[in-house]
Amino acid sequence: MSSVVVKPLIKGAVMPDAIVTERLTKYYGNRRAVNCLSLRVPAGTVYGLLGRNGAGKTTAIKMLLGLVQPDFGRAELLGEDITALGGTTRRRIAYLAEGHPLYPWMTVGEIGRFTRAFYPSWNQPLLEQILDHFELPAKAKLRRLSNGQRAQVALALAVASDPALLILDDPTLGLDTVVRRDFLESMIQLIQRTGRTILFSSHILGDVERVADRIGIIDDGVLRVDCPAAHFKQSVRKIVARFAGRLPAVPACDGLLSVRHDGAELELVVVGFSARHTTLVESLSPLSYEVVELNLEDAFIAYTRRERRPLPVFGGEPDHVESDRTQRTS
Amino acid sequence: MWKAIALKELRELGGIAAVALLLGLVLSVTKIATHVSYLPQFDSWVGRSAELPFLSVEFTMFYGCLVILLAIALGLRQTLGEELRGTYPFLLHLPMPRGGAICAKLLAGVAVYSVCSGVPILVYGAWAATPGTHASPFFWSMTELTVLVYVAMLLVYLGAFLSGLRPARWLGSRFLPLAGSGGLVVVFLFVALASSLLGVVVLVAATGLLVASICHVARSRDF
Repeated sequence: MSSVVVKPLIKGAVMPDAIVTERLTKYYGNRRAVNCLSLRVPAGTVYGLLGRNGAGKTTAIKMLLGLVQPDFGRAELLGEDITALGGTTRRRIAYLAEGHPLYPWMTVGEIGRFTRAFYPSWNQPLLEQILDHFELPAKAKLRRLSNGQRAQVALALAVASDPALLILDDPTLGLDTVVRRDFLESMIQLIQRTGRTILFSSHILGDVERVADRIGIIDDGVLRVDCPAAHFKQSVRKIVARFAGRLPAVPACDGLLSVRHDGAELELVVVGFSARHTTLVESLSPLSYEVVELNLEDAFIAYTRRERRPLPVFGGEPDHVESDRTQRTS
Repeated sequence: MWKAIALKELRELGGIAAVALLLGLVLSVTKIATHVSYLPQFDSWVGRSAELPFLSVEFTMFYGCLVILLAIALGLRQTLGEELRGTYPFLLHLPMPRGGAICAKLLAGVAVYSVCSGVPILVYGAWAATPGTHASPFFWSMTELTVLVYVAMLLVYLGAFLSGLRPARWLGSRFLPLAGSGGLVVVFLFVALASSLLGVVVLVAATGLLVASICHVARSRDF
C-alpha cells in the first residue's frame, strides 16, 4: 500500500512539535498492534488520527500517555520524553479516554472537585461555565447521565485543567448523531479559542473533516498517511472504466490500491492520482472511463479496505451488486 | 492529590467497611453475651460460656472467616473495580506518579482493613478487661492468637490487591497471588506461634515481597 506524507506547509517555518514519536512499536503477543509509528504534530495543530477498529489508534495514544509501555521506539510530549514526564508537563496534558470512563457514584460536582486536586492552575469558573452551557447540574450523579452527557463532563474536566495538549481517544464514540454534532461544535469552540494542540482519534470521518487541520491514517498498526485532510482527499481517486466484452486484467501500477470488477465495469482506486493512471486505463481500451473524486469518508474506506470474498447472499445477483456499487459511489 | 485519592477510596470502600463493622460488632457482642451471667434470656440462645475471653477456638475461627472475607473484598474492590469500570486510564493519567496513586489506594485499604478488623478485638477486649464483667482472669496477652490472625490477614489483603491489579487471562492465574499470600499466612502463623521474633521477620519479609510485587506490577503493566 502506498503512503502519502506531506512535509510542513510553509517551507522554513519552524514550529515546536507538541508530539514526536519515533518508531514507536507495541506487540500484543505475536501481533504488532503499533508498528514503527513515527509522527510529528506541530504545536497548535488539530490532528485527527484515523483508523478502523483495532487499527492501533488507542494503543498509540495510550503509549503516548504512558498507560501502555512501548516495546520499541520513543516519544516526546511537549518536548519531554514520555518515560520521564515530570509533574509540570503532565499537568499541561489532558486526556479523554475512550468511552469517557468516570466514577459512576460521583456527582458532577464531586468529579470536578476530585480532578481539581491534581491541577494547581485549575480553572473552576470555566468548568462551571461549560457545565452550565451543557445544562449539567452539579448534583447529578454520573451514573444517571447519558453517554453524551458523560462525554460533556469529561470534556469539561479536560478543558478546565487548561492544557497545552489535549488528547482525545474517540471522543464521539457511542454518541448519536445530534449529540455528536453538539459535542463537536462545543469542542471546536472550547479548543480553538486558545490555539492549543489537539490529537484526537476517530473512525467517524465527518467528525475529523470538520475539526482536523491534519490527518493521520493508521492501518494494521502502521501510519499510512500523514498530511492535511484536503491533500488526502485530492490524492485518492476512483477510476470507473466500461468495457464491451470481457474485462481485461489490470497490470500492476504504482499507487494502485484496489481493482474491483463490477459487471461490465472496472473500478480502480488509486492514490497519488496522476497522468500515469489515466494512461494505464487508456491502455486497456475501455469504451469510456471517468475519474471520480471521493469525499474523505469514501477515500478513507477505499484506502483502508482490504480485499474480501463476496458475501454469499449477493453472489450472482447483479441487481444487488449494482445497488451496492451505486451506493458506494454516490 | 494523595488526599483526593484516599478520600475517593474511602468513599468506595464505605459499603464493605460498614458491613464488616456491623458483622464484627455482632460477633463481639454475641461473644460477650455468652459470658454474661445476668442476662438469662441469652442462655437458651447462645449458651453459657465458661471459657476464658479470646481463648475459644470458636471466636478465633469466626473472626478469621470475617477478616479473610473483608481482606479479599477490599483488595479486589480496589483493583478489579477500577478495571471493570474502565477507570484506570482516567485515574492514572492524572498528574501524579503511578506508584503514588497505587500507594494512596493501598494505604486507604490498609486503613479500612485495620479499623474494621480491629474493632471486634477492641470491643471484646475492652469488655474483658473491665473488672467485674466476667468471672475469669484476663490479660491482653490472651488476645495473641486473634491479633496474629488480624495481622496475617493483612497479607491476604495485599495478595487480593495484587490479584486484582495484575493482568490475567483466566481465574486460575488471576488468583495466583491470592493463593500465594494464603501460603505466606500459613508460614507466618506457624513461625509466629513458635517464636515472636521470627514471626515479625517473616511478616516483614512477606509484606515487603507483596508490596514490591504490587509496585512492580503497577509500574510495568499496561492499563
